[in-house]
Formats: sequence, C-alpha cells, structure tokens
Amino acid sequence: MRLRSLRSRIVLFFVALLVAMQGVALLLVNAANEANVRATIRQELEVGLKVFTRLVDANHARLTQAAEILSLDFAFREAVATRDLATIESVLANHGARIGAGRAMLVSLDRRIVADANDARRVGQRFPVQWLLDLAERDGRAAGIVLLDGQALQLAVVPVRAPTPIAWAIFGLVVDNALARDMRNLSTLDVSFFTRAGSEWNVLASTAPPELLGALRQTVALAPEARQADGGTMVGGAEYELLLLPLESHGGGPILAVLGRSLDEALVPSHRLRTLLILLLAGSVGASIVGSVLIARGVTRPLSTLSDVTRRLEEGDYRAPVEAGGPDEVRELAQRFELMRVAVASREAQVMHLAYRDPLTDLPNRVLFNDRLQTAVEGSRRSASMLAVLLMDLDRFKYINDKLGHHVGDLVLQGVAHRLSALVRRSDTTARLGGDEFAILLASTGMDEAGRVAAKIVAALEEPVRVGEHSLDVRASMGVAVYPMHGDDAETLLRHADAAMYAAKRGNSGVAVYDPQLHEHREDHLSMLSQLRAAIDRNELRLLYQPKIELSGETTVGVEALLRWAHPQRGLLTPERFVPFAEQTGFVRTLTAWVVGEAVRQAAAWRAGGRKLKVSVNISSQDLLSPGLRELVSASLAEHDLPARLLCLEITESGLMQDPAHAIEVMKAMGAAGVERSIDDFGTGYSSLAYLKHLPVDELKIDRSFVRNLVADGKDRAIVLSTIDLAHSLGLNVTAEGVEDQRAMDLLAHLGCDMIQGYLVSQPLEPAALETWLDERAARELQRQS
Amino acid sequence: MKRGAALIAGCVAALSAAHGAELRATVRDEAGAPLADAVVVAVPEGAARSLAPRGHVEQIEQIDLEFVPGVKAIRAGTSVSFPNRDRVRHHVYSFSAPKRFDLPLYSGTPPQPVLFDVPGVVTIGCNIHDWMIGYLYVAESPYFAKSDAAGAARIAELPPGRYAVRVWHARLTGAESSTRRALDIPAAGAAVEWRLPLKPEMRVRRAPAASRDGHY
Repeated sequence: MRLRSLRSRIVLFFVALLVAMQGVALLLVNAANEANVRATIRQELEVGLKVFTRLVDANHARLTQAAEILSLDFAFREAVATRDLATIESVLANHGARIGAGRAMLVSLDRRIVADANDARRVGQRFPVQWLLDLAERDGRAAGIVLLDGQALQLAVVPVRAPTPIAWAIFGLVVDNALARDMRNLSTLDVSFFTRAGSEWNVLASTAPPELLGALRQTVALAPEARQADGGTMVGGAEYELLLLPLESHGGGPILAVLGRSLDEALVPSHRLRTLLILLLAGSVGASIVGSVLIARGVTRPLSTLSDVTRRLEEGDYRAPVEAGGPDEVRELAQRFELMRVAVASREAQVMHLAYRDPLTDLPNRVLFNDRLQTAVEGSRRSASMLAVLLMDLDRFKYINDKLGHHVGDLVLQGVAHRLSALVRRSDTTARLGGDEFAILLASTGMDEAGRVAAKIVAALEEPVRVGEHSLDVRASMGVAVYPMHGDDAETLLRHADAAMYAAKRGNSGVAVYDPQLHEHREDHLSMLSQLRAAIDRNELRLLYQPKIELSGETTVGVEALLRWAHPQRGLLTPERFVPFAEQTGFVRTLTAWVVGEAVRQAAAWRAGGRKLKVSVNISSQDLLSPGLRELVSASLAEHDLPARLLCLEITESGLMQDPAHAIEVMKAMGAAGVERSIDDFGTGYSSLAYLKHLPVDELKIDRSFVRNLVADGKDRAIVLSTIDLAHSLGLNVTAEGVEDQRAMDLLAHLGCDMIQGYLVSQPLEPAALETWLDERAARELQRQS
Repeated sequence: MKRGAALIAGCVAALSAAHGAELRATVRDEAGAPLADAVVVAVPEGAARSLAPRGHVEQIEQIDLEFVPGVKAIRAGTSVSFPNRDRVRHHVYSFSAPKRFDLPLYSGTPPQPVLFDVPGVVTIGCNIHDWMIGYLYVAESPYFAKSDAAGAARIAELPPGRYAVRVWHARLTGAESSTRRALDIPAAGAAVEWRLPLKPEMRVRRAPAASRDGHY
C-alpha cells in the first residue's frame, strides 16, 4: 500500500490511533494494576503485621494466663513454699503440657532456676533472662520473646504469691517452624525469625523454603534496621514485599521477625490480565484494520469510480450517465457530476452548433460545408456517383447594404437563406459561406440536373425579397461545378464553382457552368498573378498607344494607352488575359498606378517633344472607387508636369454603374482637377438615362460591338445615331471604337461622330512606332495639302 | 538536740520511774514521710527468750474481705484467732517459716486459735482472695509497738537498760536485722527514728464484687 493513497492513510491512521490508545491503556492499566497489587500487598503486610503482633500477644497472654492459673493453685503454692522440688517439676510439666508450652520453670526470687520441666541440669543456674525478671518485678508480670540456649522462646513470667510473691513461674513457647507456619496460616504472610550473632544473621524459624533462606538472610543482612524495605525487595531472584520487625532485643541478641509476601505470586492475576489486554489489543488491531479497510474502500472505491467518470468526460464521452454508490457524500458528488455531464454535453452541442452554423441564417457555415463536401466527395468517389457544387452570391447586395443599412441587409440574407432552403432537398446542404455568398451541395446530381436546379434557384431569386416596407431585388449569380468532371476534390470543385460564378456575374447570365476551356485554370491565374506582380519590376509591362483622330480634320487629338504584358512564356498578353484576376485581388490598383504613371510620363515626354497628345487611360471601377485615385492622378501629373487636360480617364459604363454615387463624386473631382473623363464601351452597361444626366464626363465612347456591323445593321446604325445625338445633347463628345473600314468611318462622319479609333486608323503602337506613325501622317498630310 | 530531748525524757521518766521507761520511735520512709504499720521491737540485751503467758488470745478478723488489722504484732507464744466476719468463707493460710498453718474454707470463728510461738514474720493469705494479705509480727520480746499514721510507735513500761531495737515493715528492703540499733533506754525514756528504704507497693488488684444484676 502506498502511503499516499487515501485508503492506506485512513487505515494507517485508524490502526495507529487504536494501537496508540490501546497501548496507552494497556500501559496505564498494567502500571495501575501493579501499583494496586503492590499497595494491596503492602496493606496486607500491614494487616499481617497486626495479625502477627496480635498472635504474639495472644501467645503471651495464653502463657501468662496458664502461668497465673498455675501460680494460684494452692497445692502448687504449697509445693513451692515447701520447696517440694519433685512436685514442683511435675506440676510444671503437667501444666505446661496442658497449654502446649514448650518450656516451664520456676525461678526463685534471687533469680535462680529452682525447677525446670525440660532440663533438670539447669536447676541452680542463674536465670539468664534478667531483663524479663526486671520487667516482672516492675509490672507484676512480664512476657517477651527471648533467646535461650540458642532457641527463641515466647516466655511469660508470673509471680507465685503465697500470699506475697515467693517465686516466679515461667512458661515458654518455642518459636519454631511450626509456630511460624501457624502464623502464616492466620496472617497469610511468610514469617521468618532471625537473630544476629556478631555480623551473621541466623534463621531461628521460617516458613520460607530452605533454598530461599540463604537469599533471605542476605537481604536481612543488608537492611536490618529498616522497618520496611521500600518498594519490593529482590530475594533470590523473586520479588517480595518485606516487613522487618525487630522484636525485644535486650542484650541477648536482637531478634528480627521478617514478614513477607511474594509479589510474583500476587502479580500472577495481574499478569494474566495484561496478557488478556495484549490479546485484546492484537484482536482489536486486526478488527480495526479490517474495518478501516472496508470503510476506506467504501470511500475510495466510489471516488475512483468517479475519477473514471471524469476521465470519460474529459475524453469527450458524455453519453454514459454518472452513478456511484457508497456514502451519502459520495452519492451527492456523483449527482453533481451527472448534472455537470449534462451541462457540459449541452454546452458542447451549443459550441458545435456555433462552430458549424452561421448565426444569422442558421445555415451551415463554411467550415461545415467544407466538411460535408469532403465527405460527399469521398462518398461519391466510392460509389462512383456525381455531385454538384453551386456557388452563388447576390449581385446587388452591396448596394442594398449601403443604401438601406446592415439591418436590412441581414434580413435580406435571412430571406434568401430561407428561400434557398425551401428549394433544395433534405439530402442537399445549403450553406452561407460568408457575406452574401451561399453554397449548395447537391448530392448524387449530374450536370444537367445541377444546371436545372441552379436555374430554378436563380429564377426563384428573381422574385423580390420583402423586408419591411421594402421589396428588394436580389439578383443572384451562380456558378456550377460538378464532380468528377470539374474537379475530383472539394477544393478544386469550390474553386471552379467560384470561377463559374464570376463568369456568370460578368456575363450577366445568372447561371454558369464551369467550362475548363473558358475559365482558365486558377493555378495558371495564380501563377500569372505572381508573375504579374513581378512584371512591373521586370519591365514586362508595356503601354501601347492607339491614336484617336478627329473625323473633321483627321487630326490626331490623342491616344489611348493600352496595357500589354510581355509575358516571357506566353508572349504579349492583352489585358483581358490578366486584368480580371488582378481586379479580383485588388492588384489592379497597382497596375493602374503604373499605367497612369507611365502614360503621364509618356504624354509629358511627347509634350516636351512638341507633340501635344491627350493620353487616355483605362481605369476599372475598383480604381475609380479606390480612395487613392485622386492622389495618384494629381501626383503623377505634378511629377511629370503634365497639364491635367492632357490626361483622360476612361471607365466602362458597367464599371461606373458598380457604385454610381461614388463614381459621380470621383468623376466630379477629376473634372475639378482638369482631367478629362470618358465613358468607355458605352451602350453595354447598366446605366440609365437619369444617371447619364448626372454623370460628370466629357466623352462617350461607343462600344465596338455597335460599330462593327454599323454599315450593314440598321439597328446598330440607329443606336449609334441616337447615342451620338444623345451625347451631343448632353454636351459630350463621342468617340466610336473599333472602326475597321472606311465605309464605317464615312458613315460615322455622316452621323456626326466626333472621333474614331480602330484598326482603320492604327493598331496600338509602341511609343516609338507611334511617333513614326505621327511623323508619316504629318508628312502625308503635308503632301496632300501641297 | 537528741541529748536535750533525752534529757527531758529522762526527767519525765524519773517522775514515772515506777511505771518504766518509754521508747518513742518514729518511723519514716526514705523520703521522710511518716510510715504506718511498722513494728518496732526492743529486745533487752542478754535477756532470755520468754514466751507470753498461756491463754492469751489475739485476733485478726476478716472484715469485708480484708484482714483487720493488716499488720499485727504479738508476743511469741500468743495465740491468734481468725474470726470470719464476712458472709463468704475464707481459706486462711500461711507458709511462713515461723508458722505454717492452714485454716480450710470456713465461716465464723474456727474453734481453735493458732499458736504462734516462733518469733518472726508470718505472712497470712486467703487462698481464694488473692489480695487478702495480713502480716503477723511475732516478737521475741514483750516490748514492741506498731507505728501509727504519724509514724509514731510508743513502747511503754520498758525497764531501763540496754536494748537492741529493730524495726520491721512489710515493704522493707533488705533484712530486718539491718535496722538493729543498740540503744540505752534510761528511765526517762528514749526516742529513736528510722528512715526505711522500701519496696514499692505491690497490691494485688482486688477483684470486683459481682452485683445482683450481673454487672460489675
């Protein structure tokens, strides 16, 4: 078990606590018990001592009483008075036997032994225990323990009165092992009597076993004076509680009574108790280990279950509900986890939704669409079926957004989204890719079907969208790309659909299906774009100049600067080969900047060289609306010191109509600066007459499409004529583009056109070539006039 | 002082020469306190022992479980009767060398008195009443007296002459002979004084009498 786990900590703590507590209890109980036993034994010793003392006294009393009884016996008294020794001795013996006295004697008043029932040889000797007789004389009688002939005796001395004391009657009880045993029986203490001879202690009597006597003697020798040895005393390896009681020592040698109790004996029950407690401790430790393991598990198992649960949740598995048994707290925790799981799962769903849905329209967003497209492509690949990608945007959305506000714009988008969704099958995916761009994935759909659906959608969007009080036209341009013809992966399909969409937009055709031939591969375009960027630096860009002549005098009034790209591989490229995608990337501004700068420079150079030529530069709507245009123009003019009227900006009609209001402003500003302005490709854009009225331009250029068949086509002729009239009415000049034959030129002159431009006059020329052409023309003119 | 007293005593004695001389003895204990119940004996020097005339009977009564008197002096040859005045019987005895006698349990007066013809001290006891002790001093001369509470003993009608005077007391330490003094007793009389070393009083405790209701 590692110590760091909760389970082992719980178990260890409880076991340690239990062991500590029980251990402490054990020690305390044991100590208390032993102290108790010792105290009890000491008490017993005290009591035993009292009993012992009382026994001694009782013996003395018994002896004294017997002696007294004897001493009062008349016949005895007579025998004593008459010194009838034989009688005296026999009476002593008789009475002694009656009371079990071991010794009986008669001592005269001058302290000589008159008769001795036990040892006749003593007769006539001085009674050795003088002090006892002193005591008897003083108190009338006496009793004591004495040493006599190496024996300890309890003696009682009593006067024989006849009627005054005439002798002393003495009875004695031998202090032997039997006496000691009797005393032990009554007092429950081991009794021993010692006497000291010199420095040696000798045993007089004892209840102790002989093997202990030696040790006991040594112990006694160590502390003879002590009333009580403190604590226990070691006697021969065992522990005893001893009481040392000195008995009368009156010169005959001290007599010591030793009362004792074996502690070891007395401690046996307490040792048993201790063993029991130890067993109990061991048992309860075992039980507590088991118990605390179980309880710990009751906590830790649910915890580890919950920990598994959190791991699952972390891995994103929100499906399984959280459950855990165990104690209330754990269950409550599990419930909270369950709530959390539900909340997290729900939030994750929300996040997924946000991640994959367009918030405004609730359609799938670009991310989801791409995802589904890829899946669908793979699916189609496997099942060898076709699918179509429709990419569409709203032509007039920017106008609506700017004019009516973003709020209206949003509502329009919502309306469109709604309409789109209604038009597709459930298996198809409609998505808003961003801005006003929508995409539709048609699964299991071929080109014809896709085209039909696309047309249906575009047609449906011809219907205006109602937003509040507005009824708005949202024309859609849609590009179609089909798998596997137009690409075999999602990216390619999207790209080609996008290209198709732009084509549709430009061509105003509503729906365009991707045509690999018409729409060059984007890869080419992309590489061309990067090359184009480099082209400026590498001087691969050229301006060719196509002269414009006045019809009235055939004078060259100006030139149109036409951009060419001397592509290293592809040769000289015309603008429609590279400008469109430059427009898409915004690079066109850089191009235009170069063009303007170069044209102005050239014009200035020509002016300096005496050729006053107005240079016309084509700009796109992007250029027009770009904020830097005015600065660009004025800076270029200033830089090359060209009068503004020698610069003309041409912009296509449709280009103007991208953002008419803004265009008007810019044109006005240009005009204010002195720069001339023309509307190029007039008649092919979306301008209205009302706008025309407001457009601050100086010139109208009739699109070549009307000029090409001018002679043969009556309608074209009518258009040209009306255009010329219209222009003149508004005070504008008119230039016809694309004049290729003399008849057209003549007709145009007849119709009143002011200037012409075209192959008839000249094809676009390099500056040097133009100069040569101008010189030749001037020479020819001169020749004609002369 | 003694001389003076003796002189006066002699004068008085001269006046009463017909009556004999008087010996005035004072007995004290060692501390100087007067000693009662001491027997003073004056033995004329050289006199032969004489006995009392026959038929003279003294008595020592037993009254209230005591010998009365406790100490009596008689002339050798006197008989003593021991009348028992108590309701209980007494067993009177003595083991003294001068006279051993034994009056088994009796009440009233024994018919025969006991003759004491050997001089000496006879200690008398009662067998059943250990505290009953009486002393009978059997004098060898007719001249003896017992001291009273004041410690005074007067021996009257002494023929003047030389005497050996002795004193005896029950508690006397040592032999009686150690108290012997040779004394010339003139007709006027003489005085003599002793201070006697005594053993302590050793009375046997008198047993309490049983009362009627069983209590002491």
